[in-house]
This record gives sequence, C-alpha cells and structure tokens, in this order.
Amino acid sequence: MIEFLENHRRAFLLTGIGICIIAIIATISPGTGTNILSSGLSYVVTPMQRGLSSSITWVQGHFSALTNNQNLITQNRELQEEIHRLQFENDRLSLAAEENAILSDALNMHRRYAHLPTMGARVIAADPSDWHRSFTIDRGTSDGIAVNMPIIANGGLVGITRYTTPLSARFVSVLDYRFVTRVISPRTEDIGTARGDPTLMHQGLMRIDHLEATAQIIPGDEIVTSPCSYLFPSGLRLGEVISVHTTPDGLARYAIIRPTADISNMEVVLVITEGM
Amino acid sequence: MLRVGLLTVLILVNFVLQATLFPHLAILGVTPDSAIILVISYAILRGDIEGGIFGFFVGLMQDLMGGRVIGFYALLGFIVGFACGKPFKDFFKDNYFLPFFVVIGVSFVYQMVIYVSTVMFLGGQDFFFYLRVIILPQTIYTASLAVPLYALMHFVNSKIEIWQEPVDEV
Repeated sequence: MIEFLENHRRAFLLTGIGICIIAIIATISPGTGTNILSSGLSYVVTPMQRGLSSSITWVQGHFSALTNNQNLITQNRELQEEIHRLQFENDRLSLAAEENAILSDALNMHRRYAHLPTMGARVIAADPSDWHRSFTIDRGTSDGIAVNMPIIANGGLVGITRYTTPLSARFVSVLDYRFVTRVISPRTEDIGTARGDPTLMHQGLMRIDHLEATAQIIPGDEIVTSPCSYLFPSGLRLGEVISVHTTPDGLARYAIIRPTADISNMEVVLVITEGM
Repeated sequence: MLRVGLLTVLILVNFVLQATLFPHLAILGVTPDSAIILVISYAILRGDIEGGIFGFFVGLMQDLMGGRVIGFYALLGFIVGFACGKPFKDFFKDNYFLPFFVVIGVSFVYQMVIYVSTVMFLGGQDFFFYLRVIILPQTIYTASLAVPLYALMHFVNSKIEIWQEPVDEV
C-alpha cells in the first residue's frame, strides 16, 4: 500500500489536498449543529475528557487545600457573610417581584423577565487553539441540549451552544470573535452590538459597537441583553463598562466591557434550556 | 495493524490532553501545540507519505471535535506531514536538533497561516499585535516540547519497527 503511494507521490498529494478542500466546501455553511462523525467520536472522547477533567479538578482541589488553608478559612467566612447578605436581598427582591406581578397583571403588561428553566453542566474541555475561546460541556443532545441555547455562570451570560453531540456540547464564549448580540444599558437605554474581539480576548474583555454618538453610557454602567436580541432572553447580564471611546470619524461611539463571569475559570455553568 | 492502533491511541490521547490539561498549563495565555510536533516527528521518522496520512488524521480529529469547518486542520496537517517528510528522509534519526529547529520554523509558519485564514479577515488586521501575543509565544512554548515529544515518537516508532520486523520478512 505504502509502496504503491510512494510510486504515485504527486497523485497522493493532489488527492489529499482535494479531499480536504471538498470537505471544507461541503461543511463551510454556518448552522451545521451536529454531524455523524463528531457524534460517533464523542462517545470515545467525552468520557476521556470527563475523567481527566475530574482528576485535574481533584488534584487542584487537594493541592490548594494543602497550601492555602488559611486562605480557605478567610474565604469561607467571607462567603458565609455573603450568603446572609444575599438571603436578605433575595427576600426583599421576592417581595418586589410579587408586587411587580400584581401590578403587571393589573396593567395587563407582558412579563419581561420570565422564569427561565436551567440545567447545570460541567466544563470539561477548552478549545486547543489559542485563536478561539470555545468550551465543551458534559451535556449533549441526549440531555436535551440543542444549538443556540444561552449559557450563564456567576449570574452573567458566558456564551451560546454552537455544536452538539449526544454526550457533549461546545459553546462559543462571549470573548470569541464569532459571538455577537444586541445589548442595552438599562440606566441610559443606549443600544449597541456586543461582540468578542480578537485583540481584547486575551485580557478577558469584549467591545460594544454601534453606539450612538450621543450615547450617555459611562464606565461602571451595567450591560444586559436587549429585547431586540433574538437569540437571548432580554435582561441577561453581560458585563460592566470599562471605558467608552469615540470612533475616529466621530460618528459613533464604542465601549469596552468586562464580562460578569470569569470566562477563563469556569467549572460549572447553567444552560438555559427554554424560554426563547 | 499494530502501528495503526498505536497511532490512533496517540491521536486520541494527544487531543484529550490538549483540550483538558494544557489550558491549565497556559503561559501568557498561550498553550503548546503538541499536535504539530507529533506530525513533524512522525514525518521525519517515516517519510512524506506516512507523515501526510498521519498529519491528515491528527488535523481531522481537531476539526471534528473543534466544531468548525471540517477539513481545514486536516489540510494543514496533511501538508505539514508531507512537506516535513520529504527533505529529512535521509537524516540521522537520533539527531534531536533537527526536529527542534524544524518545529520552530514550521510552527511559526503554521500559526501565520491560521492567522491569515481566520482572524485577519474578521477585523484582526493588527499583525504585530498577534505576532507578539499569540504567534511568537506559542512558537517558543511549542519548541520547548519538541525534543521530549520527538524522543517519545522515536521510541514508539523503534518499538513498532522491532515488533514488525518478522512480518516484513515474510
């Protein structure tokens, strides 16, 4: 077999390149959620990734427990305080939500922030390429995960599922240049387009384009998904404005934002499975 | 058959390590690209035809589990394997400097091709930024793994050659 190919080097080279180019052309269209080969392969790769990722978490956990004992005690105390504070806040907010429901019903208004069913998932792998920021979770189509489901962590939007296999799903994070969504600043009602930017990705930042030249947005403003966004429920928190700039032509402004969730250190995420 | 089985396991293990363990070992936000070292090593050891086939499957694995266009990394792997096999076929295989310098050169060109074909057309025209932040650090990090991984491939390959010798004589 190999001898035969060695006698036909040129044909071998051209056939190889040809097969790859045909495959690229056949799969280049966006929106291909899943394919048979990836699904088959996921039955081998996903259990291995799951196992290895659990071992890494276990080792890291034990290692940090040994070295940072004092840190953990302090952190634990701080978290206890945080729980008390959040419980208080939660009680207060649930009263406000009840009141809001009664008033909305009275005014016959559409519920803007409906309850969203979520499913927990573990992040088991990252994209091996440094040019992208996408991650694999250990839930797939057999758990009810589909393409274009929003992913949240730490109360903020972190990405959207793009490809699924029966056992796993891959999501594109908000830092990846393939991520785009309409966003709004609830304080000033300025609307813009948030997108991952390859030059900001390494600092864990992203940008908002297409803000009006008269936009009132300032550093510190919260940014949430807009009701105009057709992929995300409105009101999902995305991040906080770091800086605001005017484009060189002076016709529009753009802002740099820091996502709420720490994208590089995600272990557990929630998938919003319904509600669109 | 033994060779195919071992190489398949190698491709799988390499991919799983790259996706799960290597992000924890990132330095300056970049991770080493062990796949390219394996392809170059195998091509140097076994020549252009087998190098090309091995590179194709390493790339295909990345394509299938990476969830982007299928065939892009397979094409890159195929070309790297084929190109590295031909000129170095008659070199002394125990020389570890050769793979080290080949990895530096090929890894740099490989990253440039990925830059041009993915990020450049999507608003990333600031070439020197990417050179500083991704291309150069990744080339250096990858090169640091070149010798140990070449040694591993050399070891695996020599074992297979010893085991397969009686079969070849028949």
